[in-house]
Amino acid sequence: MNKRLVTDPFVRRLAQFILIGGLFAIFLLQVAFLILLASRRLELIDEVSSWNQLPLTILKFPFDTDFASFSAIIVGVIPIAISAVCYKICKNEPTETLNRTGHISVFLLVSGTMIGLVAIATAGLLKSDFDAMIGGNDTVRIAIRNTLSAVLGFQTFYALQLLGMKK
Amino acid sequence: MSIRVWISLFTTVLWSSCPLYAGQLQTGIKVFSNSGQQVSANVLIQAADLDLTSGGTAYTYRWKSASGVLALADVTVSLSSPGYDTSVYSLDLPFYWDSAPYSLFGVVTNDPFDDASVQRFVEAQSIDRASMTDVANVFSLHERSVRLFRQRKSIIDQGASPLPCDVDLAYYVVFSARELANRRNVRMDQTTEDAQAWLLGMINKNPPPRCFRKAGVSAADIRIISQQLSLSESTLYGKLINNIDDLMTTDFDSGCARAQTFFTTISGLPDDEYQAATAQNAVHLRTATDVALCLATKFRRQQKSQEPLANADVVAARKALGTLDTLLPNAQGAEKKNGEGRRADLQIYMASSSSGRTQ
Repeated sequence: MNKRLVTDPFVRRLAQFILIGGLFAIFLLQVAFLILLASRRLELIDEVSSWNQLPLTILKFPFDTDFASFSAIIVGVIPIAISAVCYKICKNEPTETLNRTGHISVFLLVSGTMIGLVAIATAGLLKSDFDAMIGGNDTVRIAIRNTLSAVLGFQTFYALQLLGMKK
Repeated sequence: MSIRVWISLFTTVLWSSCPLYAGQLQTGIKVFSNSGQQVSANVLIQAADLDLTSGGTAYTYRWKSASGVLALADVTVSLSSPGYDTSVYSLDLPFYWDSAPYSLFGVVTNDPFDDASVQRFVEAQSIDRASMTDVANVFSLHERSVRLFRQRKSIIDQGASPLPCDVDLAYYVVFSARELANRRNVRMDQTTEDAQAWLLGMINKNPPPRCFRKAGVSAADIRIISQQLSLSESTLYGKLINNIDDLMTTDFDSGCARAQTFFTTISGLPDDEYQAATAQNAVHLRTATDVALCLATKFRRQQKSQEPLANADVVAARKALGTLDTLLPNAQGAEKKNGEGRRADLQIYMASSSSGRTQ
């Protein structure tokens, strides 16, 4: 697998595409959650629809079933499996230098960490709005808090790995 | 006489000696459960003024007056089911509600409180106003919306921003409360008062808050409903005194007994309730007039048979005269004329009786 990620241009591009797409989706989720919370606070929501509730639906998903944590799997598997696509290649061997995909990933991960911290802090500060959003349901509150923390953990872990601070 | 005649005579005597039941209360239960499962519920009806017995089938009760003379009974219905919130409401049961089984409903529900669920609830309710012809649907709308609004309001009070669907929810609370007050004399509960105050507070702001403007509720509609709600008790009392008047034309003594019970009730109301009860229809004056007529008639009869007047009756007569003296100067029209006539009658009979006694 690691070999193909380095040698086969198609597999390499596909893996890069999936990696950037995934990281961007997670980043977007954090931003969307923050926007939802802020616009609720500022009374900008006119109608509660399944679209503006989507971030909540996704955030609470992995934990409202008995299934093992979805985020835990991502954190464990993806970085190790496809981190090779983030480095430049020299003579069919990955080097220590980050390529463009690596830079974008680092950017998404670091800014995601920031946004994630802000999101968790905001959920705490606007507790009453957050409670109204989830109807004071403790299971959902724990689910969302855990997903946000797991995402934050994943971003920090992966960013450290890409920056070479963790082997 | 044949045996059949004897049996029929016996049953007639038996029936007339048995206490007859004045009416029936029927309680239905509706379940709105997340899990879709049917649950059972315990219904508890508390009414100090009534004797309640099981009406044969489940949740059916037969009632009659405990004291024998009933004007208005205070009935509290509470419904509990394990794992669900208890729903409680109180209503006034007037004596004339005895012709048909009186249907009430309780709701067992665990509707979730989150934004999306409240929005779904509000949207589902906005579709069918036509279903409100069935009183069961009004009960379920009221009890569900009250339960949701109570929780939403507490979280809004903690600082959460209200959404347009919260305004719609509050509207359904007062709308259904108005319907229930008109159709089943259900009294306003604390949550309904909160919802009404919240809505009126928003209307009176200029401009109204965004959530109100975005909700599909008209300010004029809310004003009308809250006015009707505040007059509902007085409307009920007006109907009650009309029915007492009707009864007095067919069964004078029975009507009089009720008028006197009602007069005692209305005179003993605390100030705020008295204001609400007598906001229209000159209820207090009309009751006092009826009592004056009853007592004057009683005194006349007693004079004829040369019986002494009972002390309690004299006290009651003085009280009625006192009320008439207070209320008549501000009265108008037929009520004033009638009241003045009865007051004069009663004064004459009291004076002649007391002079008869002193001689």
